[in-house]
Formats: sequence, C-alpha cells, structure tokens
Amino acid sequence: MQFERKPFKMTGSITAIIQLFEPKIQEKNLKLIKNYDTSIPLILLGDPVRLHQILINLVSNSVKFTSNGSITIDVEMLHQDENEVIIEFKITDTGIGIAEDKIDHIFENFQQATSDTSRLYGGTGLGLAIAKQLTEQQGGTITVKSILDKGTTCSVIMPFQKSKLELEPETEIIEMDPEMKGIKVLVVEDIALNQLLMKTLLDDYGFECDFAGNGKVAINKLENNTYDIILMDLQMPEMNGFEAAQHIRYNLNSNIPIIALTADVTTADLRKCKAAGMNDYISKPVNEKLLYAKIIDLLKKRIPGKEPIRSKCIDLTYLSNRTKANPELMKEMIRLYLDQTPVLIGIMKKGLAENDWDTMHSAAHKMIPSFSIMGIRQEFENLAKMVQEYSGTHQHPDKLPELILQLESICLQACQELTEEYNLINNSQR
Amino acid sequence: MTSDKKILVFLVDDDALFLKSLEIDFMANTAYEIKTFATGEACLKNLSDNPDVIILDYYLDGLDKHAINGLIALDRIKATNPHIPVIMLSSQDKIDVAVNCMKHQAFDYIVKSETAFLRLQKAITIAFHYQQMEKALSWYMEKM
Repeated sequence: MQFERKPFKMTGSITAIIQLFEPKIQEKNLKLIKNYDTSIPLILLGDPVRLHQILINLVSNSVKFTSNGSITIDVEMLHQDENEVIIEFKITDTGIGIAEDKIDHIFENFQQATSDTSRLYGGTGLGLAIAKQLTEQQGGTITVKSILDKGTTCSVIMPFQKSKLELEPETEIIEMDPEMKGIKVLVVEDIALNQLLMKTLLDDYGFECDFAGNGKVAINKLENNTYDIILMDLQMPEMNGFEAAQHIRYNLNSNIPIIALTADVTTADLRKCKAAGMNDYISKPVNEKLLYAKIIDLLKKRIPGKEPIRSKCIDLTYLSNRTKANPELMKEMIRLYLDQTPVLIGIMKKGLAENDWDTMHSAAHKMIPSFSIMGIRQEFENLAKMVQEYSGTHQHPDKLPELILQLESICLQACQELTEEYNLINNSQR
Repeated sequence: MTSDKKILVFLVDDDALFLKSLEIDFMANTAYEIKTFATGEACLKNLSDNPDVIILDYYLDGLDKHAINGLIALDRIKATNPHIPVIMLSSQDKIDVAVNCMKHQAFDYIVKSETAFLRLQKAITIAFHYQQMEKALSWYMEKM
C-alpha cells in the first residue's frame, strides 16, 4: 500500500477536524480542549487525507461515547531531526471507557464487521481497525488506554517528513456529479480491510456497494443481481480477476464496465487487463478522485444514445430462474410485458403532451419493476426512475421529452426481443 | 397453521407483470393458495373468503384515477376484519410512505425489488407468529 507524500499544513488539518466535530460537541454540552504544539513546522510532507481519516475515526468515537465532561485533543512534537518530525496526536475523553479485557480486541473487530455488521451499526466499530491499519502502514503506532466509566485516551504517533516545498493549491474536494446517484458497484476483493476501505470511499461518493470475495462469488452475484460497474482485484483465491473478467465477457456476455484494482503498479499490465476484457485499471492505494473520475467516465460512456448499443437489452436469466424455466410461465410473463409496456409508454407520452405530471409519474412508476424482471439493464431502469422523479417533483421539464423518447426506444427494443424469445419458446415446445 | 390447510394469500396489484411474478413465486411453495386481484375493490369484494394474509400495492390508483388507492383499501380491509395482516408493497423506497402505511395498521411495508418475495415470506412468517402469540395469550387470559 502506498501513501501520498505531499506538502500540507498540520494546523489546517487539526482545525478542519475540530470544525467538523464542534457542532456535535456543543450539542452534547462537552468541553473541547485543544493543545497544539507550536514548534511543529508549518508545512510537512505526508498524506493529509489518510491522517484525517485516522483522526476523524478517533474523535468521532470519543464524541459518541462521551455524554459529559470533555474531549481533549493534544498535538505534540515528540522528536525532530533534519529530515523528519515525530508527532503524537492524543485524543482524551471522559466517556464510558473500555473494560481492560476488551482493549486488546477493539482493533480486531473489523474481522467480523463485514457488510452485515456495518449495515446494522452504520459503519461504526470499523473505525479503529481502519485507523490502526492506516497508522501502521505509515510507520506509526496507535495505542489505547482506558479506565471503565472514566474515559479513554487514544494516542497516534506518526512520522512526517519535513518540507521546504510550497503548498499545492488545495483541491481536495471531489466534484460530485448530481446525475450519478444510486450507482451499484460490485467490489471483488478478498481482503476484508480493503473491502472496508473501498466501502468508505464508495459511501462518500454516495454509491451502493456489494462485495464478492473472489471471482467465483462475483459471477454468482452477477447472475442474480444487477450492478452498474465492477471493481476487480486481480490476485484472489479460487478465481482471480483476469479469469473472472474473461468469464463475465465471454460466458455471461455482459459488457458491464470493469475496473481492475492492483496493489503493485509494476505488474499492472494494462494490456493484460484489456485482453481479459477489462475497461480500465487503477492502482492501490486508490486515489479517491481518480477512482471517482474513472467510474463516472465509464458510466457516462454507457448512457444510451451516446454509443450505438445494438446488443440485446433483455436477459431472461432472472425470469428463467424465477419460473424454474417453466415455458408456460415464461410465456405468460412475456405476454404480460408485451401487453402492458406499450400501453404504459402511450400513457406516458400522452401525459407529456398534455403536461400532466401525475400521469407521467404514475406510468413511470408502474414500469419500474418490469426492468429487473426482464433483465433490462439498470441504466435503462434509471431512465424510468428519472422520469418518475422529475415528474413527481415537477423538475426539469426540458429533459423529460428526451428521457421519454429514450425510454420508448428501449422498451420497443425489449418488446421486439421478447417477441422473438416468445416465439422461440413456443417453437421449442412443439 | 396446520399442514393440511393452505395459507390463503390475496395479492393485489394493478401491475399485471409484477403480480404474475409474485404469484409464480408463491405458487412454487405449496403451502400457499393464491388469489390475485388487479384492484382494491375486487379484493374487498372477496374478503368473505377469509384470506390469511393480504399483500397490497400502495399505488393502486396510479393509472385508473377512479380506483381506490392502497391506503383506502387497507382501511376498508381493517374495518371489515382487523385481524387480517396486510403487507404493503410499493416500488418507492420512501420513508413517509412506509410510516403512513404503518399508521394505517399495515403489518409491514416492502419495496418491490428482486428480493421482495423473500422479504414477503419473512414478513408472513412473522405475522403468523404474532397471531399465534395473540391467540395463546387470549387463551391463557381466559383460563385465568
């Protein structure tokens, strides 16, 4: 794992973190004490984003588990020589504390904190594990001292390089694209900690994510769920990333975008990834901005209309699973779709012509479940969702005609393909 | 539920495709007997069949503006027989809709998705569990 080494202001980092928690601290009527060692050089070299991640985790724990008293943040320079300084960050609270026999385990909890636990606890309990990993990988140490019912002190000791460089302009904030919401990402990654790191990143983007521990699990998940994009680790047990990508492209016939994740830049052979059918690759540790840009780039390319997609838009795998491939049931479902969908499109267009928001909204709403039933890709379902949202909130009237047009063309295509499937099933029954 | 008696489930949705897909799921399990209705009105007319559980779409008046919506249907079911558990279905994952359903005494609220059937099954199991507890409770109360 690699960390950035860029010049940053330590005071700025600490202030930013305090600002983040000030409202919560005030709300809980706690006292905030900050002791900052002014002998710390103004500009240091390091990875401010990771440092923020570590400190935010620790401070948020302290604030969460303290109901009266104070939170103290000490930043002290323990040592310096020509090239580097060693800084201790100490976060002390007067909260509930941790029992002695539990202290050794609080860093380990992440082992069981898979997506299940994080769903239950909203990401808590993972913080310390992440903080520890991030600290230690930067050559630091993290320790916790605590007395039950009295309070806890977390200490992070970490080296930073001295710098004579000027600060780069601050461009840390990722520009979010408001159109790109509710993206479903499948992360194929065998190491739990990396899964967590990826989850925190994707949560920040506002994306949903699901995990698979190896290529085989990923393929299973792809057969039963729809995703917008896959992030694929290359080295995994059972089935590695190259094999999995090949299987997805050539056996599942899916053109879902795949970004390869690789720990070692030198072995990241873009050609090998491309040969396996992957669209792009990114090296670990993942740069937030770059990953976001790559995801958005690939997804935008796939928005219909920009690229002639003449591949099949339907996929009856799901329907076939649901009906246990019973031809009569499959035919019945297809017939229902063929009956219902053109009517809904008609209603939607009529609503558009008459400026009747409610009608457009209802028709789009009714159409939504049919996409997943007929295995029509998420991006097309999103068109219906956008029509539903815009007409429901009376927004973007200028965008609706185009959206409805796209929706009509995809539904027509689906109807055509389904008619063919229907006839195929019919013929095979004879 | 005794094993020889099937669980009678009413499925009410004006989305024929989704209705059918649910029906297929339920039919795969022989413990269920299914009746489907495209409108709340049709469901209400058949309440005399004494369904064990009703699965009701929230948005029944979407396309037919004169049809009763899911909440009105829910209220009328509850007025007729407050003991039938009603599970609401909607394709929208909205908290205010869910809360509203619960206030109208829905047993649960489930979003239409690929996993809707699994969650429905779970909800039905829980509903029957509650019913059994209530029955047991009233039995003990009478004994006392």
